[in-house]
Amino acid sequence: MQKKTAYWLTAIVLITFIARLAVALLVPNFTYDSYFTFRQVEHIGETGLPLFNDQLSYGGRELTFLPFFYYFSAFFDLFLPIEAVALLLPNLLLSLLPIIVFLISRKVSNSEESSLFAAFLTGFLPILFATANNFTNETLFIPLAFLTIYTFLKIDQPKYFYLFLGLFLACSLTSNATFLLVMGLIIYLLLSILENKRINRAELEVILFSSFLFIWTEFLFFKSLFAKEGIKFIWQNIPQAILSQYFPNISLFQAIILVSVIPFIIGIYIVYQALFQLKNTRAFLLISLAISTSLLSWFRLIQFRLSLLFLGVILTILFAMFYDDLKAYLSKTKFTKKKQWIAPLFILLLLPTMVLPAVVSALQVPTPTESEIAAFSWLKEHTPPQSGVLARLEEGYLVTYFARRRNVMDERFGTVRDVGTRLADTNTLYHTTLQTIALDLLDKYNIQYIILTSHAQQTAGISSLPYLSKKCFELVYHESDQQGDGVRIYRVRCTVGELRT
Amino acid sequence: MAKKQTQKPKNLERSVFFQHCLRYQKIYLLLLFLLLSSFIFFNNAQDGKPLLADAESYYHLAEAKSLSVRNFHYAPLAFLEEQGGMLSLVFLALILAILTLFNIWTIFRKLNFSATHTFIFSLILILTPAFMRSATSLSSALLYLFLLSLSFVLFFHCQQKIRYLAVFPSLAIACLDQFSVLLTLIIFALSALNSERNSRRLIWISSGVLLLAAGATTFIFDISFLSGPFHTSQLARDLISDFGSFSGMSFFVFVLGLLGLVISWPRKVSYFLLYLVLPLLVPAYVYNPEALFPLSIIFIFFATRTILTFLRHQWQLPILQRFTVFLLFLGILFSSLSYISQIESAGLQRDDLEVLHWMKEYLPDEAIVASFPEDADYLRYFAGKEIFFAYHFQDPEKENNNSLILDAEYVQQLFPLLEKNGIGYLYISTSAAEQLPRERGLFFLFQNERFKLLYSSGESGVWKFDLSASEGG
Repeated sequence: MQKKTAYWLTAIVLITFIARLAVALLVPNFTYDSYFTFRQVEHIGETGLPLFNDQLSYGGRELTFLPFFYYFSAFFDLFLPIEAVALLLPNLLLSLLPIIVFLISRKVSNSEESSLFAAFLTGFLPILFATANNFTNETLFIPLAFLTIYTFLKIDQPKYFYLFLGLFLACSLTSNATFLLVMGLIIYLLLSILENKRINRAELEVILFSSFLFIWTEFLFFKSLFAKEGIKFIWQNIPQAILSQYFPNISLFQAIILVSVIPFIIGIYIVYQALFQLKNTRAFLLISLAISTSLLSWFRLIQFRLSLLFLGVILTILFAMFYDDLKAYLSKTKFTKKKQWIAPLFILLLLPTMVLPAVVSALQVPTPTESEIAAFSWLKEHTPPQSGVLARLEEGYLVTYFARRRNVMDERFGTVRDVGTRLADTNTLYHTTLQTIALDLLDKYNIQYIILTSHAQQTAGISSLPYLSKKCFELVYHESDQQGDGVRIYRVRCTVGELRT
Repeated sequence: MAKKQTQKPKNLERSVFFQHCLRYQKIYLLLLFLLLSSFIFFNNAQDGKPLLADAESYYHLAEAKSLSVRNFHYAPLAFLEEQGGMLSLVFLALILAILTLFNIWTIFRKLNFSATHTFIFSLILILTPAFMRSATSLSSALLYLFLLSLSFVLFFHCQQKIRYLAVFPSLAIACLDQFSVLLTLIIFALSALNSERNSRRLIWISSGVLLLAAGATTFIFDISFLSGPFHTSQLARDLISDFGSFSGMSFFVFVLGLLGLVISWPRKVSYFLLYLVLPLLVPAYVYNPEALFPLSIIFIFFATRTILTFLRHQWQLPILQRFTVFLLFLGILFSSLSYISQIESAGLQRDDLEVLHWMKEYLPDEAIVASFPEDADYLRYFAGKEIFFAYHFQDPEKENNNSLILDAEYVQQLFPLLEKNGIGYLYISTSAAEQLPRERGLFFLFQNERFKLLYSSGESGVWKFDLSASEGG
C-alpha cells in the first residue's frame, strides 16, 4: 500500500469515527434494543454467564441467543464503564469497516484510488451511519462478516485459511445473519459452475465445512426453538400483527434512500456487466452475496433492515470496480485528459446524496429521552421488586434494565407461547375505554404499574389512557418534558371485584 | 539442497480406530442399537408410560383385539399379545429391527458395497429418529422393510430351494397396505430388469404372487391404501426431527442426502433404482406422513454416499476433512439425542393411562368418546371404547366435526355437534390440555351444567356430556 493511500485511509477512518461519535453524543441515549445488550453485559460481568433465564422478561422465561457479542463487550466492560463501551465499541468497530472494504475492493479492482472511494462510501452509508447509537450484535457482525469475506478471497494462503475459520466461527456465534454469508458462498459455487469457472478446491472444501459448521452452531443454540417452532424459527415468533415491520414488502424507494442512490445504481450496473457482458469472475463472490441478500429479503427470510445493511456495503465495494472501469474507459477515449476530474466530481455528487442523508437518518433514530430513563429508574427505587410494569413493546428492555421489574413484552419473541395474544392485550390496554377490561388484563398479567411516556403516547396515538380513574389508578410519578405531557407512572389500585390497599 | 519430502496426508478410512470399527462393526452397531432402544424403553417404564409409546402401536393392537374376518391378518399379533403380553411385543419390535439390520448387511454384501459403506449407512440408520421410532413400536413401516429386505436376501441366496421361500414375504406384504404392494412391485420390476436370469424368474414369480395376494387381501380384508396417519401432519416438521417431530431424519442427513442425490447421479444400476422410486415416495409422503420411513432410507443411502465421497476424496486441506466428517457425525448424533429428549414428553403419560384404565372400568360399552385425534388410538386400545374420530378414518366430515368440537367457544356451537353424533364423553389427555386455552374454549364450556368431570389425574380427564337433557327442557 502506498503511503499516500495509507494516510487517506487513516483519515477516512478517523473522520468516520469522529462523525459517528459526534452524532452518537447528539442523540440522547441508545436505541431501545441496545438495553438488552446492557443487561447481558452486566450479567456476564457479575456471573460470567449470559442471562439465559430471565425472570423479568415476559414475567419469566428462557432466552436463546448467540452470546459472542455480549462476551466481547463484557471484556471491554472490565476496563471501561458500560456506557463508554456502548458508545465507543460499536462506533469503533463500524469505523474500521472502511479498512476492510478498502482491502476487499483493492483485491477485486486492483486499484487503490477506487478502493479509497469505496471505503469513504462505506463510512457514510446512511443505513450504516444510523447505527451510531446501536449497541447490538450487528455492529460486530457486519465488520466480522466482511473481514471473513476478505479472508475467503485469500483462502489459498494458510494464514488466511485459519483466520477465515476463526472469523467464520465468530460470525456464527454472533448472529444468525451468518446465513447470508453461507447462502452467498453457496450461490458463488453455483454461479461458478454455471459460468464454467474452474472451482478452487480449497474454496469448495471451506464452503462445505462452513455450511455444516453454521448449521451445527444454530442447532446447538436454538435446539429448543427449532423443536417448538420448526421452520417458523426464521420469523422468530414475531406476532403476525407486527411481522410486516420486520419483514416488510420491499420498498425500492426506501432501499435507494438508505443505501444511497449512486452506489445503488452503479451496483446494479456492475452486476449486470459482470454477469452478462464481461464475465468478470473477480466480482462473482460479491455478486453472489448481493444475490443471496436480495433473494432472502425478497422471500422474507431475513429482516429487510439487515439485508439493506449488508447489500449497502457490497454495493460500495462494487462501486470501486465501476470507478476503476470508468477510468480505464476514459483513458481510451478523447476525454482521457479529463479523468483527473472524476474524483472531485464523484465527491461533489456523493456529499449531498450520502453524507447528508446519513447524518439526518442517524439523528432521527428513536431513542428514549433522559426524562423517560429517569422515570424507569424511579420505578426501581420506589416500587416492590416483584412488581409488573406495563410499557410499550419497544420499552420492554427499559423496564427490565433500568427499572429491574417484570415487563409484559419486549422484542425477543422466541419461545413465548401466547405472543400474539400478549401483543393484542397490550394494545388493548392502551386503547380501551372500559376500565373493567383494562383491570381484567392488568390482573391477567399481574401488572401493578403503568408507565406512559411521550414515546408511548406518540406511537399509540393517545394523550392519556381513557380508562384511568382516581379511585383505581394512583398517579405516583409525573415529570414534564419538552415533547408533551412528559412521563407519568400510575399504580394500579383495583382488581376486578375488589379494591387493593 | 535436498528436496523436502511432502508427507501424504493420512486417509481417515485407514486409521486404526476406523479399521477397528469396521472389523467389529456388527457388534458395535448392535450394541448401539440396543443401548438406544433400551434407554427409550427404560425411560418409558420409569415414567409409568406404556413401553410402546407410539400411537401406531395401539392402532394395531386395537385392531388385533377386535378380530373379525375383515382384519383377520392381525391374528398373529393378537395371539402374541395374549400369550406373551406387552413384553413380548417389545421383543417383537426389537427382533424385527435387528433382523432388518442383518438383512440389510447381507444385501449390501451381495451387492459388493464396501465395509465402510455398510458401516456408515447402518450407523446413520440406527441414529435416525424414524428408525428409532419404528424399532421401539409396532410399526408397519419397519415390518415392510423387514419383509422387503428378507425377499431380497432370499432372492440372492446361493441355494435354489431357499430362494423359493422368497414368495412368503410377498404374501405378508400383501396384508400390510396397498402402497406397500405398489412400492414392492415397482422395486421388484426394476430389480428384475437388472438381475441375472435365475433371480429374474424368481422375482417375477414373487411379483405375481404379490399381485394375486394383494387382490385377495383387498377383497377379503379391510386394507387401506396407506396406514395412518396417526398424528397431525406438518410436512416440514415431520420430515426433519430437529423441527420437533417424533420421527423424521436429522437435518444433516437431509442435507447430505440432497447433496448425495446430486453427486451420485446414476453411476451404478443400484442407484438408478433409488432415483426411480423417489418420484413415488415424495408424493406419498405429502399425502400421508407415514410414508416417511422408506423415504428416509433413500436419504440415508445418499447421505452415506456423500460422507464416503468426503472420506475418499483427496482434500487440499486435510485438517478440514477431519473437522467436516467429525462435525457431520456430531450433528447426526446431536439430532438423535435431541429426539430422545423430546420423546420423553410425547405420547401417553402416566396420568393419561390412569384415566383410560378408569374409563375402561366405568364407562358403558356403547359409549362414544371424542378426543384429540392423536389420542384416539390410545383411547381405543386402553379404554376399549368407540372413538368418534381418528386421523386414519380419513373421513373429512368427521374430521371437520371433531375440529369444530375441539375448537368450540360457545355451547350453541358445541351441543348440537355432540347431540347429532351421539358423543357422550370427551377425553382430554395431558398433551391436549396443554394445547387448549384455559379461559375459553372447551375448558370454559365444561363449566356448563350438562358437563360433569367423571375422573381426572393430573391434567388428564374425562367429561360426561348429558345427551338426555336439551336446551329447552
